[in-house]
Amino acid sequence: MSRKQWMDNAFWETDEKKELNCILELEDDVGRVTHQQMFLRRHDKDGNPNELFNEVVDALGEERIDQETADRVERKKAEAEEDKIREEEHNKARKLEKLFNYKLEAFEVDEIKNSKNRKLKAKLRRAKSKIEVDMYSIMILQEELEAE
Amino acid sequence: MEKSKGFVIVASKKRNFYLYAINLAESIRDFYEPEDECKICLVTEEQFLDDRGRDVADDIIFCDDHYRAKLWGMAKSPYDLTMYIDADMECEHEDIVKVWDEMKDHDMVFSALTDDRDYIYAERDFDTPEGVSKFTLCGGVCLYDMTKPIVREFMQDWWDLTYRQMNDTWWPEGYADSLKSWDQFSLWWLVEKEEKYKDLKVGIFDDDLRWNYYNALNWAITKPDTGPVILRHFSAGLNKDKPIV
Repeated sequence: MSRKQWMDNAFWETDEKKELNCILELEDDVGRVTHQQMFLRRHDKDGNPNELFNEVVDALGEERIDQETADRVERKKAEAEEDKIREEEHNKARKLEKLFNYKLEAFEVDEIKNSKNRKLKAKLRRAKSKIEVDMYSIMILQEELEAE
Repeated sequence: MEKSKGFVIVASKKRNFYLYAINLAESIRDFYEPEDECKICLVTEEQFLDDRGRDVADDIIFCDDHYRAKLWGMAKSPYDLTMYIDADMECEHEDIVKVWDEMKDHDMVFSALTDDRDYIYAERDFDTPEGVSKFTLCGGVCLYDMTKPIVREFMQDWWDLTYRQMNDTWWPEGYADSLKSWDQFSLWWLVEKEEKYKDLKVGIFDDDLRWNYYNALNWAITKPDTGPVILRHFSAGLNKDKPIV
């Protein structure tokens, strides 16, 4: 037995509710289920009512579509916020890798490599920015120069 | 007699690994209190060793340039309780001194490869003659008790098997060749397939992300539950071939 059903996640594309995005679920005689995503306009280009559009609104109810539209906006906003946070964390991690390499470069400078000042070297290793690395590198270099 | 405790760090094949290893060893000393109780064994190639290595390490063992010399080095640990750490890691918290408490009644302790961290792994799921399996243990860090003969034997077998799988003198039927380069495979094989290790007590660090936090993980999705990162793993983001200077 075949079946046709509008899924209840339909939403308005615009505030004027003239365009609708919805999914039609179809089941054929042997139980195969397919989904068709549809973009429907309330009226065709000649201004005539779109029967399919009205069918969806009648089946789901305008209030239901309003609610789903509002929920979707919230959901998309939350997803965008989450993506932003993830992107920021991703960038922080990349920055940390670059900083790690930068510190190792600093530790390859002869005066820093050979310095016995463990306290300053530890501060250099814990530096949170390139400026801080530079600062501690200079302090170590100065100390080495003074010792010469 | 109290068991000796120490860290094993292995740097072979590439000079950059030696530089990472020195940095790791010094970072452990930066945080370990009391520092004079911090014992470090550096396993490296003779060609790489310089004063920094001699200064930071209590014990130095020379290895060859095998890609997985880490396993050879792990089996050679001079310490009863050994914490092996991949060279491309850095210590950033004083809780490093608590690592020995993680031994509990386990024979060896690892960090875990889990489904929710799947997004950073190169190859985790694989076909076996019995169906699909997946790696669950990460060899980036490993705490183990060398006073136990079974553990010593395991470490030696892990190295031997990895060596053999990589030079094509051992490989079980029904497994993809792409797995041959992973020491995780030999680890998986020994833990899952070897009868003699069926009673081995393999544990996972409590809040294991603190003990092996891959910098490639996204902090917004994956972070430790109970405290700051102790050991950060820079593995994926480093160019190991390009000279640092």
